[in-house]
Amino acid sequence: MPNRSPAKALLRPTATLLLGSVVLAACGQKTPQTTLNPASESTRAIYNLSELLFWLGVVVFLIVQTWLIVSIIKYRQKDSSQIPTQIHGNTKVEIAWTIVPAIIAIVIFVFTFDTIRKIEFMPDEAAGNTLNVKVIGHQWWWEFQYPDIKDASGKPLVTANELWIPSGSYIDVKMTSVDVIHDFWIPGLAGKRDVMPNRESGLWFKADDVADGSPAVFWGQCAEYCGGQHAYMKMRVVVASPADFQKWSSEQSQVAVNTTLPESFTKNCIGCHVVRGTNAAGITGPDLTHFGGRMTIAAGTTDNTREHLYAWLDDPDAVKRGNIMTTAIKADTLTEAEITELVDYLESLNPGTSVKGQQ
Amino acid sequence: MATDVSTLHHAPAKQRRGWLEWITTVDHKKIGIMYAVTAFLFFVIGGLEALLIRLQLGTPQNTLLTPEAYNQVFTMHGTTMVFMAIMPVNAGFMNYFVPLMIGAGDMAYPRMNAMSYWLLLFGGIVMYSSFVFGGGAPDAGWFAYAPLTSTTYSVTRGMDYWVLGLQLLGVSSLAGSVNIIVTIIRLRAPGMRFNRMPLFVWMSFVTSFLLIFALPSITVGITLLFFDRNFGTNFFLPAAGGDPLLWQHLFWFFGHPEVYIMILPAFGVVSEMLPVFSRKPIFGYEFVAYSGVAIGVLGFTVWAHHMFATNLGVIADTFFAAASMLISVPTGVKIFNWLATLWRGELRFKTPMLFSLGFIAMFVIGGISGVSLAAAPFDLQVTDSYFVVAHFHYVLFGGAVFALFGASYYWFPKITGKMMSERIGKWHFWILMLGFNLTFFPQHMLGLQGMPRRVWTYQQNQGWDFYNLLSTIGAFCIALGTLVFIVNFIISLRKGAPAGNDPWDAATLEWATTSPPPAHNFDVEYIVHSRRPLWDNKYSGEGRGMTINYDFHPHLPPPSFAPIIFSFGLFVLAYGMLNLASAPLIGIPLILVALAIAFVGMNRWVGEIAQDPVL
Repeated sequence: MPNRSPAKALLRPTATLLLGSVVLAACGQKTPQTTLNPASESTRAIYNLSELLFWLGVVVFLIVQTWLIVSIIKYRQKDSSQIPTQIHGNTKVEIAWTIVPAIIAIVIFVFTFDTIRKIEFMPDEAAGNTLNVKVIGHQWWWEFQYPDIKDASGKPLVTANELWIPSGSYIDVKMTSVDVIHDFWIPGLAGKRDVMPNRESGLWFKADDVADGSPAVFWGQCAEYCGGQHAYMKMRVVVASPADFQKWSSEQSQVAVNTTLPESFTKNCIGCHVVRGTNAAGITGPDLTHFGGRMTIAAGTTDNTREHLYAWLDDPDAVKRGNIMTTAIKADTLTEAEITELVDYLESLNPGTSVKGQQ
Repeated sequence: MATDVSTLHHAPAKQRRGWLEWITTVDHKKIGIMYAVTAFLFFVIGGLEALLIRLQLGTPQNTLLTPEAYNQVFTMHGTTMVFMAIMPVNAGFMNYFVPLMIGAGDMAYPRMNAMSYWLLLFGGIVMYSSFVFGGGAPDAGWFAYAPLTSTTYSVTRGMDYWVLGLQLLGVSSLAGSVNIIVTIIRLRAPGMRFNRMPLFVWMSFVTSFLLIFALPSITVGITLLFFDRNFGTNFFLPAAGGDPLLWQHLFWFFGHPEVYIMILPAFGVVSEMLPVFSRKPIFGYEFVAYSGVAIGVLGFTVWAHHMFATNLGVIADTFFAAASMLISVPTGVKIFNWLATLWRGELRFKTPMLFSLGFIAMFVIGGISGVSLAAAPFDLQVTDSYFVVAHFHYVLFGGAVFALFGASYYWFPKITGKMMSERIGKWHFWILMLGFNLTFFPQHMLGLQGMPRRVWTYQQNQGWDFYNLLSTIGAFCIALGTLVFIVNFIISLRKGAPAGNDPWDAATLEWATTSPPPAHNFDVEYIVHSRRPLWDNKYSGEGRGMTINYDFHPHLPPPSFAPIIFSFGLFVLAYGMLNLASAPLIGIPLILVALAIAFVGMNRWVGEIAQDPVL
């Protein structure tokens, strides 16, 4: 093939440019929810598989596009009266290019199967080093229960939209939904798993070690379209060192740090929310016992600051349109004084171990 | 030319004039044109919805659309493009060209053919009337996962309109498929053996079988859904023991073959255009044809690769991953054969050729990302993310739409007798190529960076702003390209250069008649002796590709009101069904009226057949 070199000369900078732009974009901006920064054994296994897929893809891409471009350059019509040799086919060639993609497919399959094995079966060493977590999907927020960690009254520890886990432990997640199908996805730690109303699904992962005092925060989001505010069904996962996690969970299993409910809370909130240690025992909405220490409001809709909380209580529909709290709290339901009172109270519910304000 | 024969016997069918001519037509060519024009209008509507989507996502935390509006818009975009744009454009080309390519005078069932078209139009109207009468359009996504579709979570009537619209479209497709299959089996010209059929005919044949086997599954699914929403059943409702996962199996058993239903005709049309503009036969005709059959068969064994995230278990994941990867083999075979067709050719870069080459270049990218999605663990990271959105747009836009635009340039001269402007066509191609890649390539990155699909907005601090902005700019570039096509279409229709019978120096029978062809297609009967009857007659010697039977008496059915009356009955029936549970006092009379209308149509239909038993 004498004309190979000009095509090559054209392709190489193109490929470099293409790959370069991928890398550049991956580094240039902060992407807290990326799949390209795996931080658990299972996501690393998936990442390794995707690297293989990427490079095989690049090879196939280059072969086809080179072939195409070379043909375009080389066989451009020179003489409209000329009829090229009428080639109808070649069985040997056909067999060859049936076998080659088959071999590529088999290679991909072998690595795929190996990865399925790695990410689906929990290793034996997990026994004795497992933390059970129950995920419950709601339109549009996440409830997390820790069946192994009981609060003072003997019930499992419950939190919302912010999942703390110890690094180095196998996290055995079981999931169900109370309404439609959701999907639990923390790209840094695990692939997706649908959260279904009529069956329990599950996955496991083991987050990489972090140092004492410096927990790592991962962003996650519902990945199965679940209605109006699918976009704002987000979560944070905090990977803490075993010691930090121990501290957090012992704090979280206590009753609220302030058990004196303000009047406006009793009047407006206790039908749907739990604050342990008080008579607020509604289960429609998220457990608010230690709300003050959480990173976000309304399942990742805004950061948890006094201003945002004020805006949320003032008119929840303006912050997260269509959410279920708007059936109780309209724009004019609460007075300014009541909102301020509620903000003061809720922000006081911070037992201490928190990554609030950290990105 | 062999076609310039004047000693002919025509069947003098009574013709109507003006708009009545279109309403009563049973001519496959007119029906094909109506299909294509209607589908293009829906393509434009679906495109405008896409622009709304991209405008909303162009900047973070945008408030142009409310979440409710956004969810309706993306649901209608998907539904429109799949069921009312790509499928009927394919059906339009099949209608127009399958009979011509096999040397037939019409479809096997001309009246049923008209009915198929009217049900497409009426189905689309039912679906879109939800905006006006339904309190809102469907809003559960084009694959409508239960229980989000239940009356608890989808509170407008939109999903009921969606179900009934799809029912009409389903009947349309099913009848159309039967018609194509029977036409191909029964009406091929003498000597046109299966292994001499043009590849577009082959792919139309395979596609029609896929439809017949795939559609029942979604028909059952949407019927059960309609019962759940209207008559108190619980097929998909978990609270009463129903199973949402059942919906997913029913949907995807249809939904995956549906992908091939959309792309195989594109494969077919590219397999026609590449040889013509390379001035060579297709490389490996049998392999191209049978790999299409293989894709069609394998397409029924892979549906659960859409459901890896539902925790199917290791054995199911492994099986469906393997089966899905297997499809890359026949697909690869096709691509290599197309490339080999170019090799040592004399390539003419007319607009249809540009689109064919663009198709190969873009479809390959969709194929590569498709194989990676078959790798179940990788799928768990990128499914339901923008990576998937990028992937299927590379298949369906970079693949199907590019091929279909190419087909429009290729066959426009035959349909209208005029050439489309090459100059504007090239602008169209390059603008579309740029816009398409600008829109969809960045979406791979967005998916890898964790952006889920179907979110009405996203936050500034996610790192998704730049790629989303690029994508939105690209979408407007696509819109501009489409506008250029419309301009080209209108200008060429008015002032295009005369095409003549065979402007591309092509090989197949549709070019062996006038442009546009007469009502009866061919003045003579061709007896086919090769795969490229016209080419071989031109370049191997008269009579090598085909010979002519002059003793030929084309017989066409007269125009008929029966198909539109019958279809209109079903159209009214849809509104009757919509009201049956909610307002039976309206619903029941409407259903009775609808059945009466349908009966009148059917009665005429049967009477016409009795008068003219040949057809």
